[in-house]
Formats: sequence, C-alpha cells, structure tokens
Amino acid sequence: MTGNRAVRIVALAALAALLSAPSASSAADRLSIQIALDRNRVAVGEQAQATVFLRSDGLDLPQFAFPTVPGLTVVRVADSQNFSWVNGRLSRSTTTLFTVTPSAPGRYTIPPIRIASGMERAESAPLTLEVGGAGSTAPPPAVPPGGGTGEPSPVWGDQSSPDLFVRLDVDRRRVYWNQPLIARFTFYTRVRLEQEALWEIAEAPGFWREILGEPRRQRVRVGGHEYLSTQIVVAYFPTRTGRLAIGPGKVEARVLRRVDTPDPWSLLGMPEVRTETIPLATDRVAIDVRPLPGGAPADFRGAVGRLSLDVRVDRKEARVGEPVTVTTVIRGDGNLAAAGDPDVRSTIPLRSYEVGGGTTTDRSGDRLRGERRHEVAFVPEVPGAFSIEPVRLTWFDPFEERYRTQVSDQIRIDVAPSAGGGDAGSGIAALGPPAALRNGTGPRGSLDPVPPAGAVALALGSGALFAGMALWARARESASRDPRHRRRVALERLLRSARAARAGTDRGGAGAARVALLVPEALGIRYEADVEGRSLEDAIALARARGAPPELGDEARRLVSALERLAFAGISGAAGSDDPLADAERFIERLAREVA
Amino acid sequence: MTADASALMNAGTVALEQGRVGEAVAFLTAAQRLDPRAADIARNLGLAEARVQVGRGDESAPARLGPPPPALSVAEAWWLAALLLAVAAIARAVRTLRPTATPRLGTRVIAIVPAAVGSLLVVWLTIVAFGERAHPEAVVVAPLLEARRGADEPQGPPVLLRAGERVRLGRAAGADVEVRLGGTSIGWATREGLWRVSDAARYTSRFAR
Repeated sequence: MTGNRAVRIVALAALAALLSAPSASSAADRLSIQIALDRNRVAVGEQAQATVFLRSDGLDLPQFAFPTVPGLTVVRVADSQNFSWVNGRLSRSTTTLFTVTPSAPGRYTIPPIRIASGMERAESAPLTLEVGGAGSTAPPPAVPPGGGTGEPSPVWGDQSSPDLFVRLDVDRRRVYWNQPLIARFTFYTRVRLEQEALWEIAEAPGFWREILGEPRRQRVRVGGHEYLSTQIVVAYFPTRTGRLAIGPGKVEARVLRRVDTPDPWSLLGMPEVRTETIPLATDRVAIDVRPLPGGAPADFRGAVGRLSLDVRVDRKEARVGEPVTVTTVIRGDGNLAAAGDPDVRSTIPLRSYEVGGGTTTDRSGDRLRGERRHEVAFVPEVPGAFSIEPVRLTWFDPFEERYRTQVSDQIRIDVAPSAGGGDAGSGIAALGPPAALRNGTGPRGSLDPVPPAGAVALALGSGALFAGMALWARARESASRDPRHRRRVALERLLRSARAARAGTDRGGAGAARVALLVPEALGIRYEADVEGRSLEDAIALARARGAPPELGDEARRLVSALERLAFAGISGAAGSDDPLADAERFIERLAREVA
Repeated sequence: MTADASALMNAGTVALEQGRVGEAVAFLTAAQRLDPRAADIARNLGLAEARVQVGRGDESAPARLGPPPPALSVAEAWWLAALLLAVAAIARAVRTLRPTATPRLGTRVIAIVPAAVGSLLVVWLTIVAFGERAHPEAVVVAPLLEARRGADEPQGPPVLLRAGERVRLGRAAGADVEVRLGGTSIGWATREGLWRVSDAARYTSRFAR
C-alpha cells in the first residue's frame, strides 16, 4: 500500500459513500414496509404502540390496511409523510402510528402487511404480541447484536493520522420511546477522490428517521492534520423499546493514487494514476430505548419531545351560520407526526368540520423542529353565545422525564342573528312588508306538473282527429293519381249524366241525343282510347285495337242507332230495345264495373 | 293531492313573518305553481328569497320587487297545448272534408302552426314532468344543511346549504337523500332538512293563523 503518498495530478476529486444499516429490506429495494411494536408483552387493558413505516423510491406510496386480528383493537393515531430528494431520486415515506389494545390474555400474531406499487411488492414481517393478565409486567427488551463505540475506522497511515476514515456519533445512547436522537455520519479524507459524494441512506430496525439538511462539508483539523469532512445528520426516532442499534455506516471511496512509471519514456514522463476503491465502515452504536414511564394521563397520545400548544380562533363574534375556525398549533422538537391532534370541543353541540391541518417540519438545523396545525370549524345555528372548551395537550418530556400537560383558555364566541333570519337587514326592510293574508280559496290543482285529465283527453282526441284527417286526405289524394280509379270516376260521371238524361223531362229528345254521345266516350274511357271528336266507327275501331271484343262494338252501334232514332224521330222499340236510355245506362254501368 | 294556492300563500306568509325563510320559500314556490300571476304570492316569495340572499352574504339582493311575470301555471300550459292541437285538428278536418280545387293558404296555416306549437308545448311539458318526477324540486328548510359525499364517492368537504336554497333531489337511501345542484350531485343530506315543493301542502296546518 502506498496510500499516504501525495497525489499531484490535476484534481479529479470524488467521493462515493454509502451509509447503510442492517435492514429487513435491501437498500436496492424501491418499496419497503416495516412494522414494529414498542413492546412485545403487555397486560390486558394496556396499550402497545405499533409503528408502520412505508418507504418508496420513485414510486407512488400505496395505501395499506392494518391487518384485522381477533381480540386486538387497533386505532390509527397519527400519520406523517416525508419527501426527500436523495441521489436524484424522489424518496417518499410515511410513518403511521397505531395503538393496539388487547381484550384478553393470549398470544396474538399480527400477520404481514402486503403492499404493491406498480410491479414492486413488499411485505412486513409478522409480529407476535404476548398479552398477560391484568397487572403483568413487560419482559426485558430484546438485545440486538452489536453494541458499537462510535470509534473511527482508520484507513492507511497510522492509527493517529489515517488518510481516510469514517465515524458515527450519536448525541445520546439512552433514549425514551419516540424520543429523537441525532446521529452524525462523517467521512474524513485528506486524499483526492474520483467522484462527488453520493449518499444513500438505509433504515435501522426499530427506528424511523429523518435526514436533516444537506450533507455538510468543511475543513477540520484532526490530530494535527487537515481533513475535508462530509457529514450527514440524521434524526432517529425509536419505535420500539429495548436495545437497538444504529449503523454501521459504510462508505466506499474511490481514491486516485499515483504509481511508479515502469518506463521512464512512456507518456512523456507524466506520472501514471490508478483508481482504488476503499470500503469503510463505522462501528455499530447500541442504543437503549426505554419505555415511557407509567401513569400517563388519559389524554396522552404519544407525543414525546419539547412541545408547546397554541390555540386561536379566527373570530370571536359571528352570525348564525358563519363558521368559526379554531386552529391548534403544536410546536417544538420531537416527533410531531406522532403527537396527534388535540380534541377541540364546543360547550354546546354544534356542527363542526375539520377544515385543514398538516405538519410542517424544519430539517435545516441539527434538530427536527416543526409545527403541527389542525383547524376545526364550528357553525353556530342559534343566536347567543358558546365557548370553545379548554384544549389540552399532554406529552412526555424526556429531558424532565415526566408527562406534561398544557391547557388553553376557554374562548367565548358571541353569535348574532343571521342577516337572513328574523331580523331583516336594512335592504330587506326597504322592500316593504309582505302582502297580507288571503281570505277564501284560490286556484286549486296538483303541485306535480302532471297534465289535467281533460286537457289530456282533448289533446289526444285532437291528435287522433288530426292524424285521421291527414291519413284520409292522403289516401284520397293517392287514389286520385291511379289511372284505373280515374277511368272509373270518369265512367261514373258518364253514368250519372245518363241517369240524369233518363230521369229528365226531355228524355225523348235532347236527352237521348246527349246519351248517344256518351256511348262512344264511355267506350274510349274503358279502353283508354282518345275518341274525342271522332265518329262512332272510329271509336269502335280504336277500342277494338285496344282489346275490345267485336260484340261490344256491335252493341254500341245498336245502342247509338236506337238513341238517334229516339232523339230525331221519336221512335222507340226499334232495333230490339224498348228503352234505349235504360240500355245505354246499363251499358255504361257495365263498363264502369269492368274498370273497377 | 290537490292543493289550494291561497292556503299555501297564507302558510308561506306566516312562515316569512316568523323568520322561517326555508318553509316560506317552499310554501310560496308551491303557491306560485298554482297561481303564477298572483302579485301577492310573487311579492312574498321575492321577500323570502331576498332574505335568503342576504343570509348567505349575497350582495345582489334586489332593491325592489317587481310585478309577477306573465307566466302560465303548468295546468294552464297543458290546456293551452290541448286547445292548440284541437284548433289544428278542426282546421285539418275542414280542409279534408271540403276540398277545394286550389287549397287555401289560410286553412293550411291554421292547421299547421297550432299543431306545431301545441306539439312543442306538449314535448316541453312532458320533459318538465319527467324531470320533476326523477329529480323533484326541494327547498332547504333546516337552518343549515350539510351535504356529505357518499362512502363510495370521491371524498371532499361537505357542502353547507342554508335555509331557503333550492335544490333537486335524487336517490334516497335510508334517512338520507341525494342532493343535486345544476344537474350535478353534491352529496347526501338528511331528508328532514328538505321539503319537496310538491309536498308543501302537507305542512300548511303547521303555519295556520
């Protein structure tokens, strides 16, 4: 090893560091879920705290449901969500706290929680909760492997002045459940590295963690030598009691080293540089996590830290129907996500709505500070006054090692009548008084928009009549366009003329002459021949050309002859016909029947 | 159920004087359905609606109340449609039974125009009737009514409705009914806080004087 030789080539500085800790899921996993209990054994009536930590890198965070275990009552207490941008990838995590209350002694197994996001799947390990009878005590906490010292891990050089080393420092080794501790992972180097630092953080079992700020770089002197240090500060929150561990933190540094040139003439005498990968790791640091002392007030919801409560209202005078918003703000150091929101109640029953809230966390310093805001709107419905009851916040102060409670003052809200209520505003008063009451009855009817029966009958009848008339007219118009119909109508017209001639007073003279003209016309209509202005013989010839039988022509001749005798000589009975008018009428009638 | 416009008008006026604007709007809206051209009903309904507007902080409350619009009640509109159809049918029958060599334009117009107007009116009234049956008009009578999202619907903040606001009702489930505004469901509210306008006649005895 020639690690402590100075490298003098142009700077190709870099740092590759990896901080990792043993974890149920691999650091390469993009989706992970862990569940932890703050204790493995409780008595009936006691509560255990379950913490579910869900993490995804570059994926949507899926929803999960706490498994149903007969005999265990599980209540979701608080949620927190965290976003961080690490190594160019968005990392999201949620921490959800549940209280687990057993109803009977026994051994309960909480099955794995399975989640999926896209193609990624993950599941937690099953947990076992021992429940003893009332008054039984919790067993001593489990002791994890390890138990580090936090001493540096040197590389190269001698123990007093290595070129590279990493170390892990924690601000305290004994904490209470949910009390944050600060861990600093620091990488020291006084040699040139190939790459810029890349950090990837893994979880420690039994903790959930928040990274505080960006990696911090500075030049420091250690053992009389100047180093470039890169430090990541992480806040760890223990989610179960017992002996837990953080670390080891691991760093993989790519160091540039100059080596002796085998051929002094090669590369024009420039020194040759080679990259060497150096893995480094801190020790594991053991942490004793103590359960919170007994005797917690009934309204304690798991808040641990140094907290304060602020309660305010957006108005102390309101009208009926106007919402009054009460805002509670919990500030301080600690796990605010686990603090839960205090109950806000009014002295009289009112409609209330949760209208807002959220947790703001400041990760820029060496402490995880923040505030948790919760807004509740109360809507008064009657004039008068009501009050917001004193709001209580109870938390455990790990520095004073006792539970503390802060109670706000009662806040009185005066409620005036609504402007739309019995007291009309000046604008309403300007509209004048309402119209007087009526005497007697007014129009009567159904309030449903159904049609009156009479109107329906009239409309339906009218519609039917309209449709019937329209159909009739249409049928008649259609029939009038039929050639057979037209011929039949024409023959019927001739028939009516013949009957009129026979019934008239001049049946012996002019009537017979008119009917004599009708016979060839009827023949032409029957056989669709244009006989207008033609002689009888021409008409017969045209009819025969269109299919008339010869005897029909003979009959027409006899009829016309008899009619002419009657018209011009007053002779009837000749040519085999006593009543030529009646014969002509029958002749036309027969032709009309043939057409029909 | 047959209702009397005067009884509804009186109940609405009493409710208005008692500051019960929700009930007043419901009664007077029902009265106006039966007697839409009555000036007293229109005036008191305008007063009640102005109080509703002022109550919700609406600055556009009217400065004065105008005369009632020349509207028809639903029953009158149905009769008008039926009469138009009858006129059209008679004109058509005359044209059909007494045909002329050259049809007259007057008889054709008398047959066609009333038929078209009457038919359109019938279609519109039918749509109104089906709309009322599917989503009846209702008025909020509770001082404040909360319309919450259903369990199987996208969650959102509840909508607070004030007394006198008009909504449409949808499906019913248990003690709750779906509340609709502008053709959109806004949530579910308790039935007790809403009166259907067509049911207003049932409550007139509570506001008798």
